[in-house]
Amino acid sequence: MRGVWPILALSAALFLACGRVEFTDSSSLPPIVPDYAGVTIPEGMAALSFEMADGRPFKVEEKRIGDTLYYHVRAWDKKTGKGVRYAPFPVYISHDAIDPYIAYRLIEPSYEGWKEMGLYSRELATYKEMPIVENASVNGGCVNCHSFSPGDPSRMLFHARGAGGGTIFVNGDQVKLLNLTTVGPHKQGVYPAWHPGGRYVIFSSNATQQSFPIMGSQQVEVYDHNSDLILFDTQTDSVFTYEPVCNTARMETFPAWAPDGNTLYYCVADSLASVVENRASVHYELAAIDFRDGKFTGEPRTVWKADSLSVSFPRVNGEWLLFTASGYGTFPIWHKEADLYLMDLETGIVSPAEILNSEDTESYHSWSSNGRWVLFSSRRLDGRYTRLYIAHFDGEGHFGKPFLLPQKKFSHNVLRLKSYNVPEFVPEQPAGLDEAVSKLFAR
Amino acid sequence: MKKWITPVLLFAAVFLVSRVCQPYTLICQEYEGLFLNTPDGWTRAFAQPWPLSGIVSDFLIQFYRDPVYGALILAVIVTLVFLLCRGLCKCLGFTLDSLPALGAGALWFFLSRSSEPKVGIAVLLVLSALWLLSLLLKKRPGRAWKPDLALALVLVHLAAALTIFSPSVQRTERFSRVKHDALYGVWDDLLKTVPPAVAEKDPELTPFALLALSGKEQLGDRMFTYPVYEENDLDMIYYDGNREYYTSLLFKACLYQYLGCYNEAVHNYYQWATQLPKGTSFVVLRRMVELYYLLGDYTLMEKYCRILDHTSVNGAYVRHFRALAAKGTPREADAPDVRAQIPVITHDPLYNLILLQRNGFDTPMLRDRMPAAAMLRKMQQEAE
Repeated sequence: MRGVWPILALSAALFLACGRVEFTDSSSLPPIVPDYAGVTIPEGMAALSFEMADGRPFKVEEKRIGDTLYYHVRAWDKKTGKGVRYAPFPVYISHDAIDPYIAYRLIEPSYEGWKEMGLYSRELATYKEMPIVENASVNGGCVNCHSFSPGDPSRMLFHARGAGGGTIFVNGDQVKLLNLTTVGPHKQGVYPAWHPGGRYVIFSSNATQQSFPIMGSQQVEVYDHNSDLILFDTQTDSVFTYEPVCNTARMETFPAWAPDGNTLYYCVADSLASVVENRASVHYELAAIDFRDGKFTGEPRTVWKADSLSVSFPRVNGEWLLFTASGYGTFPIWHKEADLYLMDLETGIVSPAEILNSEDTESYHSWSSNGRWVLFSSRRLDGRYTRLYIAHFDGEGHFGKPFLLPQKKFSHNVLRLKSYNVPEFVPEQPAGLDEAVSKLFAR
Repeated sequence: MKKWITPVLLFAAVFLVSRVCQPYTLICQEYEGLFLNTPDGWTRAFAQPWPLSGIVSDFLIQFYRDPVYGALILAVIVTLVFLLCRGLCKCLGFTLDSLPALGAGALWFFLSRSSEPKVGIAVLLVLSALWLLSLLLKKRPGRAWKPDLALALVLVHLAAALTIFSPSVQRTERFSRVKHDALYGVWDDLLKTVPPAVAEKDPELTPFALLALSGKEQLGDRMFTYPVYEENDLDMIYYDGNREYYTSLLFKACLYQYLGCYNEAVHNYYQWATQLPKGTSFVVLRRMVELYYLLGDYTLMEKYCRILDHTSVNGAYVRHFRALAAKGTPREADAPDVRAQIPVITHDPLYNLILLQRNGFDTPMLRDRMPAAAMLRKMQQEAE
């Protein structure tokens, strides 16, 4: 045993010698991923986790001064033993409330097929992710397009595709499956928007197809051959159409209600033959139509259009409307040029939400209940796997710098082989539906 | 000494038979397996039935890439099952080799037909627990049975013979070898594995043999030595049922990779991955690294490298591609107006070949397949 002590002492000395790092001060901010320097986060957000862009080991200390968190980062090189003490970077804390949960779908960003997918909720104050429903409950079919009734997260719907599938409506403990193609005009529902009153749901009904470019940086193109809007009444389980938004001459899609429920915004383009060959000429415009007492009235009106941009996913927050615009087509997630644009509905002025945008795709977005935060998806990390970002909105047309939804370790964003899809804020934790839904599919 | 005869023979038999008769089966288990030390990897691992044996099985499959290790692991599992069975028998007062040999032999035969060693691990874990419990029992004097050893040796030989001559084991081994050869372009071996007589019995393999012929630029000369009756024998665009869908996707992934159409190769590898037990696999992740390197998308390549960094045996592979990317130039994204003009793949394989040729894809395989595909189209039209 006596011979062991010198070896242990030598090992300890070597360890200490190797662990000694000489630090020099730098006036620059640390090169970290994701870029959290200067972002605005809500009070009580789960701690931000990041790593050095070049993979160096680092230590971080947080100091809060007023409503600003300062991150002091020291990083060093293992081989040379030399380190850098970077200038602290600020993270601003907003006292504007944020919904405590978000809901999204996780799916491989693949092509026609899938293996596992599901709808999940995530608590923003922690890293806790809970399944709402996984596709194992619907015999491996596709679950998509979830939508919550505004202000009442116990009411939601989502589609379960595949044999015996349809649209699943959840109202508290009641879960029912309805195949919309069996009622009214026999059209299937795709993109939903729940009316603020809670009784009606507007769906677009799309004939969607994918194609695969033989070369180039875009590997998938998704487009509609035709699409219409249909109105579903949750009290009578009936479906209605209104010719100006349900006709073969034009393709209507991506419906979104104004908060007062009196106006429906949507995207529309002229129908055309051979869509894929002519995809460069498909430019959706933003349109609106009035809605009173459960009925559409009047004629649709163009709200905004541009010859070189195609609009998708309008989302209204009071007098502000946020939408995605890409070079052409209807499915911006595969378009690297897709960016978020903000429209002032009072003045009609549209401008790119520059601070939210990146070189890569920005797409699906949703407003928090109080309109002070926006949640959107972006492919800026790796160009393929969609991740979620949250940004503060001051109510006067200005966004704060967005932050990547924090995970316990940043590497989770890299290692996760699924994309986040259709992110929505939710005021309460959605209930798990696997058991109830699997009963519907076991029949 | 006598007590070691059966386990040593069993170990040697399992190792040798697996190594010699099933090397590609073992390799393909690694190709289609997945063990990721990531949060999602662990969530999935614990969500599976029998999670502990599943996790151990998934971990061990990583080493099957070298069939020597695969055979070794299989031999260890089967031999340990034998020893534990024997230990349990002893506790019950029977000094027996034959009964444990029967159990271990049956397990070996089962594992040789299985796509993973999970059941073997589960049996091993259950027997280990029983054996530990048996240590608490009072030992009984053993009762020996004279012809026991001879019977045990016969049973081991019988298990070996069953495994070696099982048509299902042979079919799996042949298909695994074809998969390996197609994935890595080992054309001579593929043609040796699928001569015309084999393709006659197993038409699913014909497109792979023709792929190998076009890889060697001999399709025009030798295509009709194989049982080729229609276009689908060449390009496998149509399929019937899940099994053919799986094969068709793998075939198309390999085909478009060798044609140089990496976008379509990625598409088909992704689709193929959805048919695998875990939704992706080691070989798919490695293929993504290669294809995104070839496409000049080093950011995405690095993502898959980092994921493979969380496995046990892909370090050298990842370092190799990172070094290549460090010397390369990443490709810029195309502008929307450029992208909008790029043709898309169709469900007509001949038209796809023409599209590729018109758009500057000029590989020997493309040149070799084009007249063959046109000839088959004409034959089919005339027959109709």
